[in-house]
Amino acid sequence: MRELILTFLQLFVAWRGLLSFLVCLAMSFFLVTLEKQEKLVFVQGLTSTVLYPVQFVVAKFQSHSDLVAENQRLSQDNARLRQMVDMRYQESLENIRLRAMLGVPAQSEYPVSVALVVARDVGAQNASCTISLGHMDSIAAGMPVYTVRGLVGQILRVDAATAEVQLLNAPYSRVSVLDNRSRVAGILESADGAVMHMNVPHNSDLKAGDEIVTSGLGGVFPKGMPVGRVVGFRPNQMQMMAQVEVQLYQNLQSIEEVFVLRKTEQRILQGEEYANVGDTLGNH
Amino acid sequence: MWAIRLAIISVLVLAFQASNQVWGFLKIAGASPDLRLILLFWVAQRRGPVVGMFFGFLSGLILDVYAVDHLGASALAGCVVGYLVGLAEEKTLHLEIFARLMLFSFASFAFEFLYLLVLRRGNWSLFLDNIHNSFIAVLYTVILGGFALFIFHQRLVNKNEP
Repeated sequence: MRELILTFLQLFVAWRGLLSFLVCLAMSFFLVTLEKQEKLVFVQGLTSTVLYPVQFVVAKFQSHSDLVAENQRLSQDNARLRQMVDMRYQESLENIRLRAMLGVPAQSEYPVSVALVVARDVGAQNASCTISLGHMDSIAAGMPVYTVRGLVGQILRVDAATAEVQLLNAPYSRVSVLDNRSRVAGILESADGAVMHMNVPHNSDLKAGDEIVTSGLGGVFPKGMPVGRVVGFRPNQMQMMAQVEVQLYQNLQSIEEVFVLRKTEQRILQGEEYANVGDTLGNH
Repeated sequence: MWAIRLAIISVLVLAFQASNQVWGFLKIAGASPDLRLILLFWVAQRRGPVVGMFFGFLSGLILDVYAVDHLGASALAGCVVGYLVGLAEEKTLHLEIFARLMLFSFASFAFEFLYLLVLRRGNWSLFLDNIHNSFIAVLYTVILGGFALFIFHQRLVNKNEP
């Protein structure tokens, strides 16, 4: 047996050139006889395997250059935004000075708390939800609740660590709003929990696409908070009031994080800062 | 040994690139020389049938990758020609320049013939048409390769010397 193996090995070594040639020939024939689809698969596999190290290195360089470009772009954005913040700051100071000159009290700015929605109302209207802030976080009933898209409701009940939010589509929810373009004010409510309506005089100047914001009337919601957009206006000559259909910016069924405007706390600016600005202006 | 193989592969890739881009000015009447075939002949003469065969097979495979429909045809022709040229050199040491030129001419036509035979198998009219069309390109390759052989022939003669 051993001799047979040795003989075989000697033959293999002696004829290795011819054997290699036959193997290459067989491989070539095999490749030639492949179907087109199989050839494509073979070529894709070959190129991806052989060229993978090259592609890997190139991709690294590419990602590096992308990062450099992104960094440059973000630096430019940062510089632009810094400039905007500075301008905004100057404008706010100017606003305070002008208000002081005119004798108009400054608008208060309230601290904001971020909360997670931890439970939802499983009722038919889905008109409330529970958030992860409560008494311990200085949350009180009546505080406006909103998201980055717009207003969603107000705090209804508060426990130690959670609070219940009454959403805008709740049966007893009434929010004083106004058309941002024509300044027509109305009451936003929902009869069925699905469609939001704004009741306005039937000859009001409202158009589809108008933005609806809070009016600030009633003292619950600050003026100017975005609420939604007018999608339909049906004037009714037979009635005093017409119903305007409003589509909320924020889908109330898909709220995950909210902001609570802790509006009961007054900003310090209204106290000492406001007096200081007045003094400064007086000195000028 | 690995350095030599690496150099061969590098030259192969460069030749492929050069034949497509850098050496475009060598085109005459739409026919361009097959620089890879010249390299294949040189490698097979210098390194023998096995290296010539692998060189022909791998370089043909690289070319075939760029034309998926022809996959295997160029590899097969390169493999056969590389092996036979190397074998001819091995069996008849120290060929004269004229014999080498003849061998190169034969290898060039054999390569083209084999390539087209595999590619157009069954379609003989197209095969004959292609043979007719590629004649000028093969002749161009023979002339250019013969010129290169004439210049570097001494290196082939002295290949076994240290």
